Amino acid sequence: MADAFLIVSIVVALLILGIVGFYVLVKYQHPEDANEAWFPKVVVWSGFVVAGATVLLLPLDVANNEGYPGETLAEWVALLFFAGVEALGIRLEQNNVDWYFGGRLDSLCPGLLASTFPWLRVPFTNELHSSSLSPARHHFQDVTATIHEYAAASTWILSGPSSSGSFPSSCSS
Amino acid sequence: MDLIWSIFFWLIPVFMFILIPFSTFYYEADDGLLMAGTSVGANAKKKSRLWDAFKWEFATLVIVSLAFFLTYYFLSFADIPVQEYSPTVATLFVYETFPAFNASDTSQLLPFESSQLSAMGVYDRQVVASNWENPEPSSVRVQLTLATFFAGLMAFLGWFVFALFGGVGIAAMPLDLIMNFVNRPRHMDALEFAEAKQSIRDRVNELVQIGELMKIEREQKGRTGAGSSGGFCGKKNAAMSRKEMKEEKRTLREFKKAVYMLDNDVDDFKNCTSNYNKFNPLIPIGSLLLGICAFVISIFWILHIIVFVLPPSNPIAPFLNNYFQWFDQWFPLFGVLSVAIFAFYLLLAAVKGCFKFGLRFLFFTIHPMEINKTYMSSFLFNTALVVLCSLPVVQFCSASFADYARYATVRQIFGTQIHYLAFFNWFWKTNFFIYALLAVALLTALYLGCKPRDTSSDGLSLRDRLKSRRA
Repeated sequence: MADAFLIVSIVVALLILGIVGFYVLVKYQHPEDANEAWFPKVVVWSGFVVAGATVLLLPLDVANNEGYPGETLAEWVALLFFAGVEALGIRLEQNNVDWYFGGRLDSLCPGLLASTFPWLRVPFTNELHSSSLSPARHHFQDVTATIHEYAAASTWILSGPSSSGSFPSSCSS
Repeated sequence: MDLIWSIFFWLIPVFMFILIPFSTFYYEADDGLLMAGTSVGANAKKKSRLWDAFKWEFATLVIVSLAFFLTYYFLSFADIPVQEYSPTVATLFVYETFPAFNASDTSQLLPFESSQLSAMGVYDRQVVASNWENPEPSSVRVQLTLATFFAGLMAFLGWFVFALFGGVGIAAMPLDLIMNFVNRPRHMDALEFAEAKQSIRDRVNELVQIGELMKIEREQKGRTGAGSSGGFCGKKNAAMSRKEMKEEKRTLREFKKAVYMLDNDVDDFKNCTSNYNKFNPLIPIGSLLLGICAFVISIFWILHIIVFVLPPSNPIAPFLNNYFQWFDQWFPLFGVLSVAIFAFYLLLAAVKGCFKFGLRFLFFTIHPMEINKTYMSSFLFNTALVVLCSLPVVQFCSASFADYARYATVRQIFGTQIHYLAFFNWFWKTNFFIYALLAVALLTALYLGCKPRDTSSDGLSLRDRLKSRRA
């Protein structure tokens, strides 16, 4: 695990850079440009942040290694990145499968990706409380049910049968 | 950390050669004159503008990528110096120490103590002699990755800009901030008021006349030239020779500078008179405080360069490195913060220096950053400057704070790989750019010490010159 302090510093530094860049952009711009030229504005703002971040990477580099062995920030970033990709992939796949098997092919959506996005917003409520269950959804619910049962079992083990009520039926068998 | 550095090494050329030029081309914002037309936002023209921008961008990309990949093909290796040793393992190692035994039980060895060591004997000398050190320094050739090489190349390009403008800025920044305090608005009496008003009125009239003259000249040339669009971004006028074009551009720059100076003076005049009660008196004091801070940072930078960076064999003292390390022990953020301040100061100095240089010498159009007066083109220009200067700043800081950053990845990248890069290594090893930076800073300090006030060229002479050309 990378140093939490470093991660907080990075987030704070990026926030400050972003806010300062935005402030300078708004404060210095000519009124004629006020609601024009959005693309250059984004370029200017992001260019400022990139230049600032490049310079600030030096102290980060120093603070990150310090000559100590152990997991560095880059590994942590890579881990975060792949974990994020994996999570997103699973979610997207889940929804795609869901969508295909859910019998909604006739509801003419403009694009596959676009049609999967609405599902992204309500994955859990939808998956657990939907009445018309597709095969894929059945499968998913089985998995979630098992997880729930494990959770219940662990609380039962930790706190004893009297406090958490009856022992889950599926685990007792 | 390598990954993170590589990401930024890629981002900088992307900004420098793709995003910023594209938006500049798209808005045709070579100078502020044309912005007025674009912000009207004629939709019919937009499509062709986009196409135009793509064409220009494509041309830029072709040239840049050609240059980049050719240099990468021929120059992307580094000869890193090494000292060669060849140990001989075949020799029997005999350590000449005398084991100490327990006095009562001689079969029991006592733990080793340094007093048991004897002087170097014959066998020791044999072992040492069999280890051969090559007296000639040799080198290992290392192939650089694309990202690292581009970082080196961008740093090299950026140094030309940074050595000049950074040097000017380091000297000009504190001086200008302090001059802001010295020339702060004061209440005027009636006579002064009248004189100032008259002088401003005269200057306004002069500049209006000059503007009219330039307009007439341009129209005449537009009429004589065959179907030229007349603007500076338009097609080159066939009737206009290269020298005339240059002369006209120079006149325009001079005119813009004079207008800028007048604009500032009018603001100052207003702050002395009609806005006097509204003017915040804390601004000059804040400017003085910032000026003192900037002065301290500039002096420290110059001392640090002299004491740590430039001495050829060994630094005289670690100077700022010690200070950062001491601060880091105290509370980690403060060391990082002070490095950030020193590094950021260089970027700001580059922007300041560019503007100051443009104001004093008329080589290029000035792009001042003024509250509520900055066009997108000026923003883009200054952003490009900052992005271009960021890598030289990182390289310079990593060399300056080598002691502080000794375990950092950046030392390995800039201090080793890029430092010994083919062809470019001469510039780094001889500290060419750092000497240039220092020289420019000292010259600027001398020059500004003698002539602290920016003056626009005399409006009258400009007008007379224009008139003589018409005749």
